[in-house]
Amino acid sequence: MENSRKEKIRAYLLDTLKQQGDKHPLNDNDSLFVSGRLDSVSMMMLVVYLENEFAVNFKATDFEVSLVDSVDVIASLVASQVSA
Amino acid sequence: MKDNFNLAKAVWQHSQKTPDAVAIVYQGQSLSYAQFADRARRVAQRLAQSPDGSNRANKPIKVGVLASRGMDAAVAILGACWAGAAYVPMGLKLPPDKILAIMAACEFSALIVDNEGDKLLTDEVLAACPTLVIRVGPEAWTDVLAQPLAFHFQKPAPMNADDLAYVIFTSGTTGAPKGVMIAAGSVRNYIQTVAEKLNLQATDRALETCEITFDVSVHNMFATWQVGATVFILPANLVMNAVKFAQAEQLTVWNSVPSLVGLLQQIKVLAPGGLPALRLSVFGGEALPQSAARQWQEVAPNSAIVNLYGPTEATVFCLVKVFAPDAPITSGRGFVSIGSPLGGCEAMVVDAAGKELPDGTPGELVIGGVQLAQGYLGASELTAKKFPVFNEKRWYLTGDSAIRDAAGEFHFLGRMDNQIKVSGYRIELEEIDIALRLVSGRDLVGAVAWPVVDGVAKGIVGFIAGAAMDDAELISGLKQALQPYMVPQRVIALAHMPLNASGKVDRKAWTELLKETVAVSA
Repeated sequence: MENSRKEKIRAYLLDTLKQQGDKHPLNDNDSLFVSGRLDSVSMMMLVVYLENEFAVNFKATDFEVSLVDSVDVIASLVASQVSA
Repeated sequence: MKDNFNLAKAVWQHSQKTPDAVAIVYQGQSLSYAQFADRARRVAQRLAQSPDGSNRANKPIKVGVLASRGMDAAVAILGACWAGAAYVPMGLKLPPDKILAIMAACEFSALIVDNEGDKLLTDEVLAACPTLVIRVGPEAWTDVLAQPLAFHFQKPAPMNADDLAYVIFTSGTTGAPKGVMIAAGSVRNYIQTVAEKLNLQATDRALETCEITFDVSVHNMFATWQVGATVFILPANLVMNAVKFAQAEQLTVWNSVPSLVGLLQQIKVLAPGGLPALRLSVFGGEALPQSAARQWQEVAPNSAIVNLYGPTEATVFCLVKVFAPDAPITSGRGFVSIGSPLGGCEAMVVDAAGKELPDGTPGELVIGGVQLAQGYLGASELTAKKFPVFNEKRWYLTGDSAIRDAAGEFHFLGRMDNQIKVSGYRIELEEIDIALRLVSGRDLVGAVAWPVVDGVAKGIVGFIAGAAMDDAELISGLKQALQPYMVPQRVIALAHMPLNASGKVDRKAWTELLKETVAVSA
């Protein structure tokens, strides 16, 4: 269950990167936004995706860029909301 | 004593009167006005020397600044001003061709780079560089500050009203970037007028969310320094933390493009009353939707809302509308009113012949007054075309459709051509067409703004005639030719290209096509 969630997240991000012509590999702990690899518009679209796909409630989070900055932290965020 | 129009004058004065007041905060570090002035005058001294340390015969005229917003960029800019030069900011995401084009057009006396900018100095770029390249960054300062300072550089160099203050490049319809030349007198009028109009205070703590290549940064930095207040610079990669940042730093002045409000709203960080410390929220760079303004009033209930309008060619902003904290945002039109001209500026709505139209009749908004640019660098024909003289006065044709209402307030209605704004960035669709043609090898191509929400463009979609091409390759290629904010989110191949009556690409038809596609998939 956990793994398939992470896989979905990774697949979504790879697709986003591909659409921007970014073919570099994506490791689970690679910085997505703080590094500048993806911009604020991509962040907004990721938030919408996470809300729709995993019912993440961002209102309940104390949002910061670091909360969604890598595949790993995104997966943790989703997991924390599911078990809550 | 002759008046000095140097942009660094205010910082110098504050460095003497309130030396310990903080001028800049960036990534947890701060510079007082005394420290800021000290670094700027050292950069100015360096600019006045040749690489071998001997003094240069002529003072520097144009200085390129290749840096991302932050402390180093601010020091680079102020240093150029201090030396009496015009600063020319260049973006770090500029394709190498565009960097070379700008360098060729400007003939820089010197180039100042921060650590990130330094990485862009390939052999080819260095070959085209001026002989003097100054590197600024945390490692540089200890040595630099230890060196003796010639008395000559204690104060900012004298500048006249018509000396160039900065040159900002914007998207050009021919693919070549257009350099807008702004004189020191124009900037002085803007900074002094707006600081007074907005009643900026030395105790203000102001947000900076704009790149140095965006002339809104001239407001965010120089209007704040004008009164001895503090600029809090938030880097691009952390801009989505803006609300938290404003709360943590107890900011009193918010400066951003309206689009940022939309983005922050999407990530659910805008809560009613969330920013009680804000007393002033300044929006500019693109049209301000009423919905965004009203929502902001709830988020920042103690804040006045300021809508500033102006093309780069009229020095940052030239019209302003201020709403007190509880004032109702004018209803009836999608965008908030752009108000009235700032002191020293004039505005009117004219027909195609340049004749003033009566209130309530839409036409082209034209701007007059002391803030008009000297013109476009190396483009005298275009300058003559966009800055005509009628009624014995010089005007700038904004290309914006507008009306003036019965109360004398102006309202922006839209563009008259193919220029769009995405997140405040000015984009000529023709510039994207040219890149599409180059990368796809096809002749019939074009770009449109899409989607458009509440009259505001949120992105770009490209079209090419013929069979589909590899998306990733196309986008990759476009990224080499265009700045990131100009790269279409996707490129659609069409077997049949809609053309208008003159046989030209029909952008309206593409937009209709996109609307249909959305309607079908919804």
